Amino acid sequence: MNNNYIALIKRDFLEGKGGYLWAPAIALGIAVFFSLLPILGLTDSGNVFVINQDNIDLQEFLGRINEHTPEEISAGATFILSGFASLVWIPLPFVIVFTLLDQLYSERKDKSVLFWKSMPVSDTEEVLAKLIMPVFVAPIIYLGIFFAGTLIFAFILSIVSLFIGGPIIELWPIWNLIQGSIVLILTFFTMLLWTAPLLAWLMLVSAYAPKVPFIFAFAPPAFIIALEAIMFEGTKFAEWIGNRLGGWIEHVEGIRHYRVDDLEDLFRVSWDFLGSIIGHSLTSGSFWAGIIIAAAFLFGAIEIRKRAM
Amino acid sequence: MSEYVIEANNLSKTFGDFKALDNVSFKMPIGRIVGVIGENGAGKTTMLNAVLGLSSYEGDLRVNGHDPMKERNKLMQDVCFIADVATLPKWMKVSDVIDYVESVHPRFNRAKAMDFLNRTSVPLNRKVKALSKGMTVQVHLAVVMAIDAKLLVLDEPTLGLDIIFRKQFYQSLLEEYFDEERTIIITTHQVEEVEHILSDVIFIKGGKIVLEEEMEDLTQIFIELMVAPGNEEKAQALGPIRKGANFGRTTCIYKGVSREELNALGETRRLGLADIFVATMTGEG
Repeated sequence: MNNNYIALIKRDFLEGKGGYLWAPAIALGIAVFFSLLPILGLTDSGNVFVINQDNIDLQEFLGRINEHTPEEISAGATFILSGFASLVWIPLPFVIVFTLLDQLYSERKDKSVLFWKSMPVSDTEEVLAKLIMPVFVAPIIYLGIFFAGTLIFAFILSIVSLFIGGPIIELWPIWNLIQGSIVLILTFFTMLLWTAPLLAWLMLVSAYAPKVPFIFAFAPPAFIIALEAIMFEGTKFAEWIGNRLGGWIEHVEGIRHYRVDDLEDLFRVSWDFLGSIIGHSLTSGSFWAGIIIAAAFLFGAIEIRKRAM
Repeated sequence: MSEYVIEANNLSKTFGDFKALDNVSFKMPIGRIVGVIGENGAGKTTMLNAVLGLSSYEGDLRVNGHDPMKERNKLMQDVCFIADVATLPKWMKVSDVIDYVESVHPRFNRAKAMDFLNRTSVPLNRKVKALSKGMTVQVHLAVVMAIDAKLLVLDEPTLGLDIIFRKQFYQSLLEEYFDEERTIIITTHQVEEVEHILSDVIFIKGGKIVLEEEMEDLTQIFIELMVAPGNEEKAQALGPIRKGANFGRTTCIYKGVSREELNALGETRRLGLADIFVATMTGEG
């Protein structure tokens, strides 16, 4: 990656620091706060995760921590730590959508586009950097904060465990957490690539909308959906969007037959799942059609930005 | 490399039916300070936008050897501009602006920019949106003056600034930036403030260039005559482009009539750029 991209991404990070850094950090702060309530006995419930209909209850987990095997404790800790820290991810979809929709519009609105254009940076570099920062770099930042969050919760649990004479080492399932993080981020990126035409559409709208890009982004698809429903009584377009937003997973072969009995199983299943969805995506015509549509929208956004003033 | 930094042939730009730029041809040599002067909507900004690769155009245009629309990023290594509106990103701190330019511009000299900023009262850790208008221009100017460019385009750079700052602005431009390797293009309404630094002028009217001269020649070509009583008819016979009255005496402005000839008819005066502009735009010249 050439030097310009690094400078542009750094700049875009500074501009969107609120969404890229403070939002997940605040979400983590809130998660820490609420995790402390059951630990301090301020609330009854500490339910954070449900798997195979078994509630993993924080108080129960800690109360009976010495009755479990080290593997069970480690497994429980993995779920509890990840469960608490998962709150970190909540702002990300909003940050991605609103950043893509806003960037190319607001630089025109405040005329700063003329300053950016006075620099030896091409419009292609500018537009791609504005895609890379929210779509690829932001999730990595979120992942870092998520991971830091799991460690903070491990620390909190360790202190509690120390007081009740429970184990400490098993509450730090680092390798599980690392594996979980890798599966999580790769799954996330696969899902993002499926949404590529929608994301690129937002950038195209941001590049051309004369005002209120939000309306220019959402009115046309809403209109098409309504038109299709009225004229042809169909829902193809809505289904296509739904498919992009995650519906495609239904079509991945094999993933519905997994059975999870223990933690080891879960990670085997997770890696299998990841392999299945990536394999499915790379061999899916629909996936590549989406990528081509996205490339066309991005090309449009670049061409429009060349003429933006 | 050509001795001209800009070469334009039959440059046109239309917005719907409106011809903002109508078959304009001009060349700008290296080492000049060119004033582009015209009324609002005359086509100044349209012409500069084409030169800067900010808008499409018809015709042939080379700026420092590049096609501006296709190679804007390459062009901007050698070309700087300050647009007629505040364009510095408002969310950035002054220090962020400097950092950013340093990271993307190979010809940016950070020490120069800092030296310039240190002579102002601009706080580096303040966001651009919290700066006064004058300070914002100072930051932008510090950035631009620290870039070793061949062409600097200033579109109404001092709009809305007070007189002391405007004087300083042009003074630093002349003393600290300009040399025979660079060309500066300035558009402004405050003609009086720039005329002493300009080497060339271009007048634009209705999308066409109506005059393109070196300043030295311009003051030879346009002469004002305060006609001595009794010489009015002779003065009229020489075909003034504009007539007026001053202290009860007739004044005539001539284009291309020799000073010796006019001296015989009364008192001649050197015309200011603003007067020449008005005479050209409203007279028959």
